Amino acid sequence: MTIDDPRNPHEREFDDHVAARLRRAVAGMDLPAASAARARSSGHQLQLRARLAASAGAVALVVAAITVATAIRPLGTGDVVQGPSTAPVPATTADPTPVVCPAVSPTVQQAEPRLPEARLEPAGIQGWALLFTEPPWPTGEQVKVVWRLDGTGDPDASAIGPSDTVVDSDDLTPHGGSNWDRPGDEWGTIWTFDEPGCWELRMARAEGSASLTVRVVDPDDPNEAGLTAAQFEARIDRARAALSDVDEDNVVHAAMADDVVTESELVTALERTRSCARDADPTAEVTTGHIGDVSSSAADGNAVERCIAEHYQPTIRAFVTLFAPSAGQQAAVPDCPQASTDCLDEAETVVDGIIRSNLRLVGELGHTPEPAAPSDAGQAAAQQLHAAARADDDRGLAQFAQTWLASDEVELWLGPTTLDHTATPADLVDPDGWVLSSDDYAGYTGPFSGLDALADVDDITVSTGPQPNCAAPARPAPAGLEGLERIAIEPAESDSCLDWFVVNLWVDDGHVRAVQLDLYEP
Amino acid sequence: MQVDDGLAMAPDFEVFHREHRDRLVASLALHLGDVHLASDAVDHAMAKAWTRWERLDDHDDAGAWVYGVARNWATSWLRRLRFRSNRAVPERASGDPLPSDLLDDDPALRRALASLTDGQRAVVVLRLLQEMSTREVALALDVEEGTVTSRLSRARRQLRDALTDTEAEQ
Repeated sequence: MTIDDPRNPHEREFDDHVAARLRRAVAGMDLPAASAARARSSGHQLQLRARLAASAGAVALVVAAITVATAIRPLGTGDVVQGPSTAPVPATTADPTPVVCPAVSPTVQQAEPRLPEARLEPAGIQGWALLFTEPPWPTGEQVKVVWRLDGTGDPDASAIGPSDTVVDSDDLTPHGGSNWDRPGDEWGTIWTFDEPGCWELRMARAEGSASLTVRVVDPDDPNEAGLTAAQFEARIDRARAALSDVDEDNVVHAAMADDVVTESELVTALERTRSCARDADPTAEVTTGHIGDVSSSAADGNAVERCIAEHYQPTIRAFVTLFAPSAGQQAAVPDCPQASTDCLDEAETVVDGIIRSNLRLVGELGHTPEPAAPSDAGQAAAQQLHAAARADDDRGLAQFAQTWLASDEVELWLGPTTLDHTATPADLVDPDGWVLSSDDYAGYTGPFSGLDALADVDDITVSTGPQPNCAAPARPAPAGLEGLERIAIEPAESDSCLDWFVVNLWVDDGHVRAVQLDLYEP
Repeated sequence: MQVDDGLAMAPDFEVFHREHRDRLVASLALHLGDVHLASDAVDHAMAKAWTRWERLDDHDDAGAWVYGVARNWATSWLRRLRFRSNRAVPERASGDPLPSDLLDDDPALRRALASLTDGQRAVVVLRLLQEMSTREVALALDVEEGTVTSRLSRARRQLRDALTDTEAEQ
């Protein structure tokens, strides 16, 4: 790249002098480090977040994503992830079979080389299991489990099935040792299960026993959603790649309209998670992006992960059970290894059908009426106000006031409440005239300014009709404004509901009679 | 534990990141007066750049694009802080746009840069440190090219005066 402005020799010499000093001084600055790999990883998270609620599958991915996030973080020996997160729970609305156990419990974590291992439920002795087939296990196939147990004496290996059937291990072999670094004596076992359901594998020695519960599934059952996290994520990745046109608001609205999970439950769960994390690690920060997306950054990541597993995942799982596509549905999505347009089109159609089918199970789509496009004049007014908010001077505001504001006075509203003063068009030529002097609203501390909010966003969405809301049903028009046309200006993109706002211009006969700022209220 | 997450790394993005990231952070830090905010903002913008690397039509403009996104992100962050918390925005807490820990190897240059307006300083840094063209600076700062030229001209005069005064004092 070259500097292309025409400069005289003195200017060029001066620029070179300043540039050299700048380069030297900057070279001595202590900059926080970052890598391209981190940018890539962060970018991937951004993509996930953007898609998170854009498909039923992506909602289900929340559980998998938390597990994956743990896997991406370098694991220490104490890393533990709660078992239920390793496999999505079947969609209760699509599968009448009750879920009676997670894929594996009580705990599971990834061991080298990425084999899941589980801490056993102790009853006199303690131990660990290394699972050579990731649960849930298919019926009719041999699966291998290696055990490390404390205590003394030869072990007895048995499993109790869902019908109280008891089977013994196909093979029980003592191991002289291995590079699996867990305490106790080591044995290898082979098992075959013919009945789907929950199986309790029990290893008994002289001092007592230790057990592990694993879910066994019929791989041919189209309603069985017992895919592993990795299998599930791979499916969702393909579906997500094929998916481009699902209204994420409808997904969220449908979930809450069905009272499966409420916004306040999610917020409460997040607060409990944060409190738990702070108790465990005062430096912990637990953040949420889009609804259902939670991440953490803390010195003691393990403790925070445990808090997420304990306090957040159960709530999210309720969300997941509503929308997770069944294995049969997911299997219907073409793989498209060549990524041909025809195949992707077909995949997109299939995924879209799955989502709409699952959504119909929980209620009608369209809890929020589709926003209507505003008139050309309304669009122009909104764009002019947005441009004025982002301008360096007040000329844009003057033009907006002259063109659109009612000649006498403009009402100022904050949410459902009108302020006790009105503004004249002249007041609103000054950004200070847009400030709403309220101490607090919707959990935020004032003063507030719709103009400031608009200045913050690069792109806006303009609509008319019922007032939109973030992840909640539409709000009615405030009393006194019902008969006016509403031009709603929202950010085109919001990282979360906490970033969402709407500036409503209430228009009467071509002139703005009221300006209303509304914010997301948890 | 190494995890193969299946995410491909475009080789030219890696090169771009290696060659531009630190200098973009430094440039934005000189604009904002906060190296940590600048670092966060540039890293956020780099992550966004990765997500659309194939769609960034002209990779020669990628630096300007990243700077623009980072600047907007940082500006939004500062505004949000004020909007949501009603707390003082920290960028000018001391009244000095460039804290002493920035450019501490060349305090005279730091003071001279601090005498510029935010807009002037951004143009100087992007033109002289980033070696961006007028068009790229305009893209990065979301202003007209004529604005870039006029800001640079005024900034040059002011910088010359400030540096001359400092050297005369010494």
